[in-house]
Amino acid sequence: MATDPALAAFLALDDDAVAAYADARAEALGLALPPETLAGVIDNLTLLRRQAATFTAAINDATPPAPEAFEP
Amino acid sequence: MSAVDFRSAHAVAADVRSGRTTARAETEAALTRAQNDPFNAFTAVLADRALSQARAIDADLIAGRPVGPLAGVPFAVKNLFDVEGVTTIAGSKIRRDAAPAIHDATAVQRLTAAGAVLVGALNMDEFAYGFVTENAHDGPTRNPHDLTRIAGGSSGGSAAAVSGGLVPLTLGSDTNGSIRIPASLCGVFGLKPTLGRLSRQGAFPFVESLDHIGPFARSAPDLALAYDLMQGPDPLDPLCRRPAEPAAQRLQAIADGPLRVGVLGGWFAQGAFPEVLEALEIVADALQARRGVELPGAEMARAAAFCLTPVEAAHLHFEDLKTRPLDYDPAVRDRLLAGALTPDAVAEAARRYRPIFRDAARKLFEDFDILLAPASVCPAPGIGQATMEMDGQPVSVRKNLGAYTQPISYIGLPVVAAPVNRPGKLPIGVQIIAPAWREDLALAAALRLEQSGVVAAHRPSEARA
Repeated sequence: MATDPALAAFLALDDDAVAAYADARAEALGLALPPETLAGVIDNLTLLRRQAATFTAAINDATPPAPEAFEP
Repeated sequence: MSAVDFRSAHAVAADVRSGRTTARAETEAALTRAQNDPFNAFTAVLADRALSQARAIDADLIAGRPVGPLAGVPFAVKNLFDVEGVTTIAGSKIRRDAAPAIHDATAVQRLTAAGAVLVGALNMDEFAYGFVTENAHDGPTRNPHDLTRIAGGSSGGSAAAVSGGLVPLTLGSDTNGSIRIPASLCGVFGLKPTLGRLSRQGAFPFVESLDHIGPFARSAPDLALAYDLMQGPDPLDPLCRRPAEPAAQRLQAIADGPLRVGVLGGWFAQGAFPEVLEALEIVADALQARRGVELPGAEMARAAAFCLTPVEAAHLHFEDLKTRPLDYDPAVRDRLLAGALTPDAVAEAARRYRPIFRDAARKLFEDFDILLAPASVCPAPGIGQATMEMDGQPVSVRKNLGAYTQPISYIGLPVVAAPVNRPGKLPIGVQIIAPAWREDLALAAALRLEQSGVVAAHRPSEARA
């Protein structure tokens, strides 16, 4: 699915590329990553990318946009 | 500590109303227990406020004035709830310098108006992000059934305080399982209502689109009573618009009637420890449940909730992550930073998948009144334990304890976490899941199970017997 370019790029990351992605994204956001956080941040980003790949596979262009207010 | 008091909130209220005891005596005893708390459940004890309210209740009783249904019942709240005059720390270091709250949270106001006496605030995972309550700033909350084990989280203090006999009623919050996991690991009852049912006003937010609040207690009737007293619309919480639909008086009739019950299989049966599945079987047998019911998309729902959580939470914390990241609990900080770096489109996709999964659950509820699932993957892990085994693979405790709770809160369904009656063993709870806005069904099923002895909260000493 992933027609959104940022989402597509994120999903397409190899595990080896996550660290470089984190650096670039942090710089773009003006977010400094202290050295003691790097390993944990990369681990978590890698996990988030894998999890995102799981559910985004169920969404396509025909899927309606997210509702403004979700009704349980 | 003073002797463990394991009476229900109903029993305490009856004792106070009948004159067998006083609100002041109950409050003083609860304050003493809180001040000598061996579980590190309490982070603040509010003696002046509590004693002042207790004196007022006793004066009303002596004068023959009406009092609320919880008059004289001590309670405590997770320290993310606003309490007038107290800084809402939400388990963090960062908020310790924040101004004290000006008002009580709506839920605290409503319980107080019903006569319940607030005696303190309770430990939690920092900013509610975790399932362990091993707080880097306040220390771990210990499981009353085994002090070397975690209480679960993020509302670990709330579960331990009820389980350990400190107070009969507490409040917590649940975004991904933070009421259901600690209730399960500590062997008490917990209710996560439908998203939007109870006001979150004055509860420090974690993930606004997923946040719920709810009570912990030692019985299903206590849960129902507290739940009823907190219901009703709140103009200060845009999600909380529904008129109150009191449940407590209807529970017995529902419990005595037919209930169509299914046991969720698939995702909800993968990786669970054998004793968790055995406990679930006991409950399923008692409710004559149909086994192996599939809720399509549960794994994807769990993944969506897993991703939505840090991305949305990071927005709330972005300025602090920029300026003082090292003041966060490291276990929380790294997850929030990763969320900040994740494209917003991931969260948007997680929100788009939500109605798809909700509709799958709605379809399933055409055939069932109640669905059962394990609450936690395993009984309480040890304090400091980083990994556990799921399906033979080592996985993070912090990230996987909520594997079975996350899909359900993602679509806001009401759930009672009920402790399976297995004296002598570590507590294990089950999720009793109902359709949206049908808390009464989940509470009634819990009541039926409690009355038949299938679920029960135990004193810690009984659990060790």
